[in-house]
Amino acid sequence: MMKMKLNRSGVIAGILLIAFNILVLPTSIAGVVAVGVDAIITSTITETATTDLDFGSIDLDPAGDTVTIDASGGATTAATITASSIVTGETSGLITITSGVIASVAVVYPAADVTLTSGGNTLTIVAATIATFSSETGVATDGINPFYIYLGGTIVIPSGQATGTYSGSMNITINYS
Amino acid sequence: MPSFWKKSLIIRFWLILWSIALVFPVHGMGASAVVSQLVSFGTIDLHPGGDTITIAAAGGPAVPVAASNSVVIGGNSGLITVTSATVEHVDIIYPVTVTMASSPNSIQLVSIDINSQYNVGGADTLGGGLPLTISLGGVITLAAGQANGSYTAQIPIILNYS
Repeated sequence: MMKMKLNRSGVIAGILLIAFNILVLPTSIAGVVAVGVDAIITSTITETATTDLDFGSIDLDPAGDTVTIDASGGATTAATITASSIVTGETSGLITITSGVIASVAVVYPAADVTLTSGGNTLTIVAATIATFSSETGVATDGINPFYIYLGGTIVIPSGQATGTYSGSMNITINYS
Repeated sequence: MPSFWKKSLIIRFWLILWSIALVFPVHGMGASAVVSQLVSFGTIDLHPGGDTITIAAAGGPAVPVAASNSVVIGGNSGLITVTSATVEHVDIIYPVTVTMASSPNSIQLVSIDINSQYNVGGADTLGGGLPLTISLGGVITLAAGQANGSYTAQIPIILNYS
């Protein structure tokens, strides 16, 4: 008889536990889902600074001068001046791009003036003129042929500027999409 | 019946009953989750300076976008579809980092949680067998000169039903 009482109690307790689980306990069940991920990386894009932007040799007008290389229409080896300096050996700069895919190219020219130095002396290429006198900024590669960006700009040389070889560098960002 | 067998039956009955009581899964029984679409960063013609590619799918389906404008062709966010007979709450736990391999090279997939849906607070299934979709994204950072190849991995995502 005692055994029967215990058994009944056990059954009741079990049923109550199930009911408790169902109605009260915040039970949960977890599952893991494995999701695939992939990325194919290629590197067909190349960028080469083929030719430096060179304002040539400038035999300066005593009053100073403004020298511009206008490459907005393509390569050039002729500078324009506002006074009477004599300029020889000048050339626009050139960046060569290759790409195995068709891509839009956006060129970002320097936002700040570019400083050229010769010892303790300096000249500047005016920032705004770099964008104005260089290739257009929004173009496209065809995925086959090289693509060229021509570089120009303007330097303003005051009267009495120290003679010397002035040089510097500028960063040009090329974005693709 | 001999006393020994009677006791044995009683013990078995007890064990079965308590086992049912302890492990019976109330919620999530009727839910199923399937991978409807893998996460694809597409074909990336890498910017020579390196790049960071993001699939921002926290708000739903998205495509890969390059920070430095590498050329990205194709690609899409991933998709998990969860269905259930009744409305259930599901919390989603995304891994912190997943290594994508193209032997012997690898890249890291990160920021999966903030670029995937229901990262915070989870979501409720719709019940009635209707699909709840969960979009998945993330970020990969590619160094300049990253080795070419097809990089793959599996993202383990834990779904907690309650």
